[in-house]
Amino acid sequence: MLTHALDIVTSAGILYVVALGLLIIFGVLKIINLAHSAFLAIGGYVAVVATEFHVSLWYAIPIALIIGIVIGAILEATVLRPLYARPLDTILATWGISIVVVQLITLIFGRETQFAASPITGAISIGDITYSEYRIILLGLALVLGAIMVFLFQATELGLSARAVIMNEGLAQAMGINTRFVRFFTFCAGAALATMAGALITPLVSIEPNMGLPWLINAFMLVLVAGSSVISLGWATLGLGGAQVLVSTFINPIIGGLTIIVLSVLVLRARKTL
Amino acid sequence: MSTSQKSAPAKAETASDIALCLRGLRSGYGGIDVIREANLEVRKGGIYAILGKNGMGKTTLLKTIMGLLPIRDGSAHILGADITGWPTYRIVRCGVSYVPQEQAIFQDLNVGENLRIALGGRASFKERFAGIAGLFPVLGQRLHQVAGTLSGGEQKMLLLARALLTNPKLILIDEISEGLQPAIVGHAQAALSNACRERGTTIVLVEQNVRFAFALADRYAILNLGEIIAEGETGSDEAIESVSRHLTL
Repeated sequence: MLTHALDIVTSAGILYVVALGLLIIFGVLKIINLAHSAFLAIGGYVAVVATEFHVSLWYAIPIALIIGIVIGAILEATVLRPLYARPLDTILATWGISIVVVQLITLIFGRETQFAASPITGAISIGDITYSEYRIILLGLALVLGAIMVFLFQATELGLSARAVIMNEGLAQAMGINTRFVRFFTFCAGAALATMAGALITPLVSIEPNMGLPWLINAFMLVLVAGSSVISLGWATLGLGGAQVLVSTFINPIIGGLTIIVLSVLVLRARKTL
Repeated sequence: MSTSQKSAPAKAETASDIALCLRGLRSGYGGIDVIREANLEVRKGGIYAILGKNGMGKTTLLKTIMGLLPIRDGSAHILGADITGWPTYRIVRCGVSYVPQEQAIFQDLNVGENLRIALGGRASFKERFAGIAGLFPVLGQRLHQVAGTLSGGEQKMLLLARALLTNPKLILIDEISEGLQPAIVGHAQAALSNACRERGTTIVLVEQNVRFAFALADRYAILNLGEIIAEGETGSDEAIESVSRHLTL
């Protein structure tokens, strides 16, 4: 029983970390960043390289974060910024970025599955069961990240500007907000959150060039359900991620893999008819 | 194309006396020019009314000045600076407040946040709000109320308070009087004339309500199909006659 509860909350935490970058870009820039999966893969391969050089994953994570900021900055300025007047084209552009990145990774590292060393291999005892320590740490990290996000959005000047851009970008401009900078900053932050998440999940998944794809699809559905609120995303990951764990455990892991997608569609459908 | 009331070219008018100057301004949406050849000069420290019927381009004109719509031709100067092609936030930060007519507040933010957003951390909210709180007693008690739950009149007061909070040199206001009860119109009038008198703020009103506009403004212009077709001082009987002729055509 406790094991299932831990599975639910830790899976929700992992989904939260993975979807967060997609959510803030969707909220502020109003674009679906289909390059999110490629950013996750970049983070994953940072962990692979770290393992090759016998560097701990704990160091790979901030490196992945910095690489994400740099890549985000370059792509926002060169690819996305000229397309803001044509939001539909950004879907094509980010998908294109994704293909290029995945091919570059394949060129450098090959198509085969790789592994990154986990910084922690142990399990901890909780009550009368033992549970993966790394998953517990990820849950803690998700909670800390969520708290940081809520603080940034609710209590800082930049967060207020970001919320203004989310609600009404034209009015935000008329209030003297440099919306171009807010967009740039948010895309860099979203890309960095994605590369960091990619490095963070490496102890739990196998690393290959397309490793981000299944995560992208689930994160995309969660973001559509949660809208642009970092708090709603927490509830969405807990509810839908929890359902996924239960279905995978008690019914079938294959059907479990579809749970988030199917439930999200149902939630969106129900919301529309309200 | 000006009427007889157009004042003679002012004596030794220098660029530093001008708050807003438009020369041959052209802008619009898609394939249509809504503003065609708009020329306008607003002197510092006055209240200037731009009058026109629906669909004459009043809102488009303000959006163009604010950089929310691109200038297709001509130029715009604000407080001596050529702002043609500037992004909106730069125009705002050189001392301009804009009060849009529609979707003008953040409905889901509270009153305090709506006000603070205009300051953008560039000045102390407490200090600035204290300076205008006397003009807007209702808002002081409602800083934590969600702005979307304010009444229509209170929302307009919030717009004016937000516009004044930044101590702007120029305020552009899009039909603030529309749909307002007479008591609130009077309140808005008092707040604006106070700002002009006490702080020397230049105010440009876009209006259909001639009575409200003339009670405040010292000069007026008439916008017709994207062009300024008449201009003059508001004090005279001929002005009222000219305006009513143009607006009832």
